[in-house]
Amino acid sequence: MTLQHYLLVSAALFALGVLGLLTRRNAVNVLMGIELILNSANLNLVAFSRYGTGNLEGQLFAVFVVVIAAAEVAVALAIVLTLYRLRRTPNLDEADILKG
Amino acid sequence: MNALMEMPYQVVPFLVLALPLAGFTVLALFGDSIKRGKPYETTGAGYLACGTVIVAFLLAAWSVRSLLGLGVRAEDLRFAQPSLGWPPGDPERWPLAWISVGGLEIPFALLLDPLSSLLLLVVTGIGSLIHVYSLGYMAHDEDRVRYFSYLNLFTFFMLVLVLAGNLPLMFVGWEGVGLCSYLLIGFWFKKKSASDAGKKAFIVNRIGDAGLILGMIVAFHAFGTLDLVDIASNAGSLTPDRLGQVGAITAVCLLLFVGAAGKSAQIPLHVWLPDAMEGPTPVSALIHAATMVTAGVYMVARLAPLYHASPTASVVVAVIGAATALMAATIAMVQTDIKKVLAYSTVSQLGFMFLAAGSGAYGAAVFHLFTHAFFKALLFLGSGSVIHAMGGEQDIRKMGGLLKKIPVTGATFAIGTAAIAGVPFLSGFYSKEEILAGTLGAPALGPLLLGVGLFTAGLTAFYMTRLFVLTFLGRFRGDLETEHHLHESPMSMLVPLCLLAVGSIVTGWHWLIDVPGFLQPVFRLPEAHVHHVGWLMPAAIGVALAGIAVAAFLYTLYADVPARLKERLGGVYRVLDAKYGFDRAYDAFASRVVVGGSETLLWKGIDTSVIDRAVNGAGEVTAAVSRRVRLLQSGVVRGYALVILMGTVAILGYLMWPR
Amino acid sequence: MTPPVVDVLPAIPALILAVTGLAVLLAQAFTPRGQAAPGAPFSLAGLLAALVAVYLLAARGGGDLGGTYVVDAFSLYFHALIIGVGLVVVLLSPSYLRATGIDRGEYYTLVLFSLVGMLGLVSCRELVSLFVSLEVMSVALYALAGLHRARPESQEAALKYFITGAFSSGFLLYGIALLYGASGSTSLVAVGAALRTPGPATAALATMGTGLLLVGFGFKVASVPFHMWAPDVYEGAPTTITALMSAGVKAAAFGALLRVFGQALPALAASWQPAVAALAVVTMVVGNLGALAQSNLKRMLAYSSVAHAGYLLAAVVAAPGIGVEAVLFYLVAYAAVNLGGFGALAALARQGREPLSLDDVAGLASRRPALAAALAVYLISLTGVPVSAGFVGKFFLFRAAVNAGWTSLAVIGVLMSVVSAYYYLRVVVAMYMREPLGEDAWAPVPPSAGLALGLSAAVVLALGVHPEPVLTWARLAARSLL
Repeated sequence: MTLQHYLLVSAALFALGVLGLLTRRNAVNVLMGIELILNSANLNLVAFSRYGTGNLEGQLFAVFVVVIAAAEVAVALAIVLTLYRLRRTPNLDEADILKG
Repeated sequence: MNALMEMPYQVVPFLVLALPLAGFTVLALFGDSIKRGKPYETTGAGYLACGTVIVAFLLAAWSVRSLLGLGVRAEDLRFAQPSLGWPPGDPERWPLAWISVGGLEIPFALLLDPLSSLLLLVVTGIGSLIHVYSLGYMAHDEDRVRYFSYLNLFTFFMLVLVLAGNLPLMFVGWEGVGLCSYLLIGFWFKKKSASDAGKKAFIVNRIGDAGLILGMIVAFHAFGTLDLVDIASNAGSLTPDRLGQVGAITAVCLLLFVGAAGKSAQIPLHVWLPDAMEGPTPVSALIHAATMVTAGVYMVARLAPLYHASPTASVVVAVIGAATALMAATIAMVQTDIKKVLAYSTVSQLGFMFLAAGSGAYGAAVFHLFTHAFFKALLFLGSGSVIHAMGGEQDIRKMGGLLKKIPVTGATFAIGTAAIAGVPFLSGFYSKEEILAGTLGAPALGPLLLGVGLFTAGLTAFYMTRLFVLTFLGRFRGDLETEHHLHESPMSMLVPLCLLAVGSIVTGWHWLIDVPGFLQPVFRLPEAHVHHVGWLMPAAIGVALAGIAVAAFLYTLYADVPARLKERLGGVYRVLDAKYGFDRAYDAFASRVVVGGSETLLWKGIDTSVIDRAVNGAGEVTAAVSRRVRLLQSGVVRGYALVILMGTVAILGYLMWPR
Repeated sequence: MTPPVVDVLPAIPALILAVTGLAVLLAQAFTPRGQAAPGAPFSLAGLLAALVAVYLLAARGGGDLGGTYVVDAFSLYFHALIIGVGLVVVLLSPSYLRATGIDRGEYYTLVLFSLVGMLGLVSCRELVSLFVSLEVMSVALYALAGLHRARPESQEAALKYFITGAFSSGFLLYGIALLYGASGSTSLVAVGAALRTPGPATAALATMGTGLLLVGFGFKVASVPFHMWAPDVYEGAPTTITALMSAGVKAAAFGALLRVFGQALPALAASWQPAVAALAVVTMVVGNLGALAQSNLKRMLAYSSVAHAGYLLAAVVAAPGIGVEAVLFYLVAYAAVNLGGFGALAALARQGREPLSLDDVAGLASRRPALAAALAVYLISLTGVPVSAGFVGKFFLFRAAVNAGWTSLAVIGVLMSVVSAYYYLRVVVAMYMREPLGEDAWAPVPPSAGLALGLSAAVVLALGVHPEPVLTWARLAARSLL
């Protein structure tokens, strides 16, 4: 295993996350796509820290990101829930009052 | 100069500025309570407005007189701030320094030299007369307090424009007069045409302003200063651009000329001025004839050394000026609204001024500006008096024979007509002759410009005579009731008319006021090489008299000829009547291309169709990958995300592109 | 080894705001159900205390916090601006919250937290604290945008803001990771030093990281093509929050953008400058043309804020020269104007409705002369007419672009300002030259909102007439970035 392998896996995760976000209609699935994107970046940070830079900043950063991602998802789920209460659907595409 | 002599220079220009501003402030703050108060309070408001401008005129006259007496050079007369000994300390550091940052020093500097003092006198002098005239003209308008407050504000900004010592300060005045013009054109805003006209003026002028702002930025970039005196005095040391070459000087000149063309109604930005006649007539006289619209000419003259260093820009200015003069004159021949004829005539005369400035005859340009201010203000105020007498009617086809009913107005109007037509010994004759002589000094196309100028002078004589004959001679063609109510205007309107008539006669007399000679030192040019060809003066007199004769002949003796001509030359007539189609073309452009384009392309086009399709397209890709998802429904949020992704790909593609 | 001594003083303003936020939350917990805690007075006190702290810090000459958080002239400039924005928003809020029925304690807590994030964003000298601050600010704003739980628009705005925001944060984070990989450090200065002598692999990582960072910041400043959330979110969010987003978030994001690109990425300037220039052009064009087609005032102002991001980006291209001070100055002018514009709409809100169309503001000049005059001042400044802050600001922005050799940007900017006159002026014309329609449906202007609007208008005019002090300060701030 070298740095390149990690970078490739991370890039693949990133792409999957983007794809998930773009193709999923269910808000919860979209949130999962976002998690994938953040974690792909995390993987990069840790890999760079372990193989490239030789310092711990990257790993430390990853811990921060995990915490922030948790907070983000908490707020996001709350928003999805209120929207679900109003609309009775988790479908993102139906949220289209605001446009133009 | 001892301290006492120095006083007027330091303080007077600021006082002159402060007076109309104070008038405006009082009227704006207490306007509502004045309006609700007793009738004499409203009248008092008018007197207050007049008073501030008249006192400003007296102060200006005093300071100009001492300026003449001292014989100082233009360089000596720059005022950063009044040094009244307060606050104590170095006067150079007085906090009026307006902006000073990053190498850009913009003091609140005023400049009083022969050029600005001439304009100062025009603005305050003719301004006073028009304020007085307004007392009578607006006596029955319930909103006249607001009217006078706008008029005072306009005077203030016009004075800022004229006295400004640097381009940004001039621009403040420039925008301020634009704003007041907009407010006054739309003064009767309940009339839709009036508020539309106001909007049109505002928008067209913004295009000009864009040129002005860019010109300022490029000027600062090229010369490192925005001070008018510094730019003018440094221009000589720069390498001039050759004809046909676009260097920094030419770029600055052309950009600033865009601004000048917007304010002074030159092709293709002339369309707003005729519509601006929706405003009250004194406003047309003050703003759209005597002062604001000449600001473009003033700026070009102010930067004479710069334009002199760019033959290319000069030729552009001259050609646009000549074309505007000719085009507007032809349109004026077929107008039937008394104010529209005068409006196109103003556009045409402004064209003459630019023709002179572009030919290098800056003195002639400002000379004509000066004489034009008198006779055009006279004509407009006269037309206001006519409209007043006619009870609001503006169509000259319904007038006629008014000379007997309103003799003072008629006589003064005749003097104005003669002056603009170029009848010898009246002011317009001298200034126009000076312009025509100057055209031969143009960097290129001199003979052509002279030819167009002469021809247009003939047309001017023709349409002005036509206007006078149709309005004042023959028999009355309106209805009986109007005829019954015909009456001469009150004294407050007639006195300004008479004073302006005197001005229209004498301001061209060299032995009385030598305007070009007075201005000569300002332009810092080598002694003007005016080609006074011997046949020019007889030719100018000839075309003027010919124009008058033809019009008089056609519209008095053979009154049916014009109608038959109109029939025979239907096509030409329609083109002139449609004003060469500028308005229609602009409307089509504005409504279809700009508004329509942004609606269909950006809103419906990009937001709905492109994004929908893009999202659908992404769906297809996904379907191919996952082999099970069918065409996706379009989803708005995900569309946004997709656009973000596409933007990212574009940026990364650009950055990572191997170079 | 002794533990490092950390000087916490530089973080005092942010700490004051955070503690105030917690105090408001706590007060809400002790308030009987169904009633609102006095959040506004608390917040005002906290914001004023923070402003005093900023002043004292400035007198002390700044300082830094363990290499992550620095308070220099640049941060102090933005601290004052952001806290000022917070003050105006809090002054506007009580009446608006009552009028729209969302008067709850957590509102002020979230506003204060987002302000803490903004303060961090402009003070970070390191990429971890940059990301953390950005998220502190954003998460609070996601919740604020959706505060109106009964209105589907508000929920939709929150959801759209969150999804696009988190998406672009992902790009930003990925970019940060790549920059970390390329340079081996997260400190901005160390990244900048490392990128000056890149190896071939490093260069590719760094360039890609730069591009992704640009996307992340492009989103926060609402630059085209990352702007599409802005109109929807600005329209759907509570209006006071829209004001906070358009004034505060934009300022903080530009602050961070200038710091990161000025300190960490100057070595790559030759490659990112054209990209930023391209963004500036499309942003100016699309923003202005988009605003032209709007009939909803909030949406029109939203597109106008997109357009203004374009003008600002035009000067960012000229960073780190005079571009920085031009951007700094304009941000103050712009914040005052936008707080005023959105604030004026919020101040008139009554029973859940606020004026949103031209018909709604027709004849406003006769019914609310002072408010109409203030709104006219803001719109005139947005157009860039002299004697307003907008003119002076735009002049400096475009001059910076010309000086940096990007004359075309200035030309497009000025032309687009001309286009903008059309849609801004339409509102002034409706207020002054039309008769009011129907009954007066709007609230009388509440005193605190009146104070906030008056302050904004005064700032706009003062900066237009005498911009010197703020310009000098902006220049000092710009210098501390180098």
